[in-house]
Amino acid sequence: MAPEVDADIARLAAGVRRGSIIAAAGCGKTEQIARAVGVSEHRRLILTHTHAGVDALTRRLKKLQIPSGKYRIDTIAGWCLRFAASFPRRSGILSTAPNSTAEWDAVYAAGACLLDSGAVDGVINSSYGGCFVDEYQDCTLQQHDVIRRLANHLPTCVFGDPLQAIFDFRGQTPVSWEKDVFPNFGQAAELATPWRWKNAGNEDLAEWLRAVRLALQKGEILDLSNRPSCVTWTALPADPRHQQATVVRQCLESMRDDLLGNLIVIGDSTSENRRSALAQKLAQQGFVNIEAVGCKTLFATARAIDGSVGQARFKMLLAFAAKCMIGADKAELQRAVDARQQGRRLGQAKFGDLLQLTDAIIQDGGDDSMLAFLQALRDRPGVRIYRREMYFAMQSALQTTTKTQPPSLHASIWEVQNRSRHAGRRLGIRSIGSTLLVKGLEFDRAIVTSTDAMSGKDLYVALTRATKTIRIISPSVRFTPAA
Amino acid sequence: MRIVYLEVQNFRGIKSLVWAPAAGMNCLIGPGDSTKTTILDAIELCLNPRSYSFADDCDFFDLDIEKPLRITVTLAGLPGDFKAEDRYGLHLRGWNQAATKIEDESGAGLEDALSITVVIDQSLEARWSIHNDRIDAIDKDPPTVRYKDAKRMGTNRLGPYAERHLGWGRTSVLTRIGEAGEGYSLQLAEAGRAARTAFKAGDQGIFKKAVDRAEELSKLFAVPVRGKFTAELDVQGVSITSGGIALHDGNLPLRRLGTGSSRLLVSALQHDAGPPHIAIVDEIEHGLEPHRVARLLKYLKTPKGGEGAVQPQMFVTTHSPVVIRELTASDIFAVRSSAGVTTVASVSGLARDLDTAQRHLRGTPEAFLARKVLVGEGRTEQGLMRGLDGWWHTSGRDSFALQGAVPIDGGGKDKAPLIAEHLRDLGYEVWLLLDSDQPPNAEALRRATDKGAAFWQWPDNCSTEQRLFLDLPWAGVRALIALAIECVGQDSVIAVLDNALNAAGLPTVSAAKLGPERDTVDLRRLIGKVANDKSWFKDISRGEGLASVVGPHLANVAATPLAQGLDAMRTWIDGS
Repeated sequence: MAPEVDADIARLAAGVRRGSIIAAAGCGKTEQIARAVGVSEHRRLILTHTHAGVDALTRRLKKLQIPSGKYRIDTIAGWCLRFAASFPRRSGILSTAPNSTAEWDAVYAAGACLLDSGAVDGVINSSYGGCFVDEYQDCTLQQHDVIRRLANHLPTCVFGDPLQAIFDFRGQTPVSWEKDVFPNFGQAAELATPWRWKNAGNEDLAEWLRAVRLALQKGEILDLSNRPSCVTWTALPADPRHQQATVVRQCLESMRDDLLGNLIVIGDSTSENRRSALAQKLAQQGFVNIEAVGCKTLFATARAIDGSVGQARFKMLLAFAAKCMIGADKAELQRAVDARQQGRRLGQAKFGDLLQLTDAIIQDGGDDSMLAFLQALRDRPGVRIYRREMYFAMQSALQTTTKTQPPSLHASIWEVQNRSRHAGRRLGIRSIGSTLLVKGLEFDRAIVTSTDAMSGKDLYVALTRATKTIRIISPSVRFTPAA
Repeated sequence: MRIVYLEVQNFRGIKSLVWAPAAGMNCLIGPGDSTKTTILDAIELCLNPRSYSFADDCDFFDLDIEKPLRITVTLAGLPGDFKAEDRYGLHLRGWNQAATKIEDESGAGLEDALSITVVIDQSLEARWSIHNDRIDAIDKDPPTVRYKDAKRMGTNRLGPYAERHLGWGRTSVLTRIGEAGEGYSLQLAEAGRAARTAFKAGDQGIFKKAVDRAEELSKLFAVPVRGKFTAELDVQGVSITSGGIALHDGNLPLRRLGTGSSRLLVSALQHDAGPPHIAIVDEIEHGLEPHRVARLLKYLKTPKGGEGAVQPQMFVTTHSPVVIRELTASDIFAVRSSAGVTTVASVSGLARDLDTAQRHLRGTPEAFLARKVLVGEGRTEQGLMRGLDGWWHTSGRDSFALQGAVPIDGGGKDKAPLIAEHLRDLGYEVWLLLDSDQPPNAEALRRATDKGAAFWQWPDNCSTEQRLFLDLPWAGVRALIALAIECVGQDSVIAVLDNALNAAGLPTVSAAKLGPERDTVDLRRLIGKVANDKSWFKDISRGEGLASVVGPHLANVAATPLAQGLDAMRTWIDGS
């Protein structure tokens, strides 16, 4: 790195009264924030969006040996909830255990109201000498309203990249850089040196990604034909029926690469099913699916199990198991269970002890018996789990005793997923995910499937995940990504 | 930091108390058992958390252990780091100084404040915590103040005896001043060793017999003797600890100073040591001559940081008029306890203006230390009342002091009703004696009596002197004139009397003696007027002299307004 340039930007960030710093992917934003904290005079409040983000920042600050008294890191949500709940009358907070988007928006509104009330002026000024906000492109307008008010009390510098603003907000309004951010936080600097690739000794990719970024910013045609050697291109067939085969082929080919290292397959953001189908095809090769915290299949299964008993419940559980693993022999096992219920011995030889476990589920339907069955099934020869996160979430949920009456598996799942949101995820060597799921993560190699539906921002996020090699699969070599 | 609000429930003599103290000096005055000292104890208990409990059943109001005792102190002027979110920032409350009211959450226009509560229930275990309604609503296990911060909130108490602070003991002020803490442990250990050596060098012969016998017996009972038994100084036994280090003047330990001097020195040290702490002094005058009290008060009231710095907050009790006279009205608070409900009223807050309050304090400090106050319209009345106290006492009645009553000079017909009203407002019982030659301040008199002040006014438009001359037997009249002669001289008395009699067309004193044959109402009235006009008795000691004349005659003139008025006064004094 070039420390002298860094030091300038860090000092700038630490000194700015209100400003924003645009940071292209891999340009050392986290490092800059950490250094800026280091040169700040007083304690800094650092806000970000996810617990993974909190962890990443904390690790970097520790690595740079910045005294922990110099910062306080939190998520915007966590900070707002803590303050608004501490002064309920001034903030007018309604729910201190928000679940829905609407309830969270109410928490942000309460936070903004509290900051306007003057009740916490003393606390804010005694606690912090300034504020940094990371990943500003991920802010909703409600969160932006909170930060704007914080900036009335504290010197505030926000960091982010408009080109990485991708959302699954479902009806919420993200901040507009032009309309919302710049009028409040004028651009103070831009981080444009792609350290991630330079440090990995991959100058070619660094330069190419810089060019891609420029083209995407200007909305120009993207021409993949002048790509560096570490980037390959394959045509994506127009017929959807042949598309998966092409991707699978690329995945298999990647296993014979000279340069190895962890691999991410970035697929369709919109379809959990299509991604899991791909993972199933490649389960034998050890590809696993990354799941969203709000994984639809998981929650749907939990609700279905809660709402059924006896054979129906077993059927739901088996269907779930079959979605997590290959080699579950779903149809054959179901036939054997049906036969056993009628007193026949079909499948006894093949499934043996497993069938006794199914008896328990059908008779008492308890968490323990379901857990025992899932684990026994997993341990059978030939079984491979390709939706690991989903499977283990279910396993943890079955081990969790919830306080709700009657006990609800759905509530347990909610608890488990919430916990994993804090813990962050451990990724395998070959993972399949979407741009939303891999945003902010770093890999050695990437396989990017770019359909026509993929926006320029999604594409930028996808292309900037790998440090060594990228395989691009797209309908054509020259195209203009959607806005 | 300063206390802006104090709430006490079920603590010793206090069933309930709420009070917003002043930012600087809070001098508590009031009769015995008005719970002044309990207020100081409550503050000290709440702001000095400790790990051991020292409560007993007597600490509960009415010894009712079923009702937990609870003390809440709300502090403002918090240091910045206390307000940080990871300390107490999220527990802040708002102090509204104008309305002397706490709002549960801080807010615009309010001062950031923090409430500390201590609760003791029948387990006698004291639990300190941060208090606000939000915590109580959600938390069974409320947050507490860190040990280090608690030390900064802690109070400085100067008790009646201050010797403890003249050594380097654990809680001594000297320990807090220096950085001696690190250095003296080693020095103490070396002193211990030196003591052993010195002892060894002494005469071992004194112990020889006992030592030899012990060694013999040990061998007899097969207790192994490894070397040889000797008598040595056991350092643990004669414990040389930091408490043993004391301030000396030459070879004389300073604890041998008089009570007053040591308290004076210690309070100065406390005032001087480290960041300002809330100071608590019980009976500030204890052991001090008036001029030293005055000096101490002046010193304590001076902000440490020089001009413009914040005056440290102080809670003081006193029974001394000297202290009251040295302070300003806004420093003084009257404490009253009634059926367990303690009230603390600001002397200045309740006066119609600050000057009035100040004048009352300077003029009649002793009134503020009594329970019952006899307000005489002027000095004649005050003197008469004081004199009667003495006369009554010699004739076997309770002294005024026993009844907690003090006669004071009301300062004239206009001011006397005002001071009566003010004293009533502060919770004193008041009996006002007015004459009637000129109408008093009617508006103030009405307010005072509306508020419960008792009063007596002589009938027939006459001054007190006139009343005396009108109502006493003729012998008494002559005795009064004799007293006047004693006070102002024969020539003067006769000259003014002759003048007046002449003007009225009556024979002068020089011409005809005042024999019983001259006893008429007009003559009595005339002499009374002269006595009043010429201020024969307008002086406390002369007034006292009056009583020795009046007292013996009272029983003989029981039907007169004079006797009835004084009887009414006596009845009021003896009342509960």
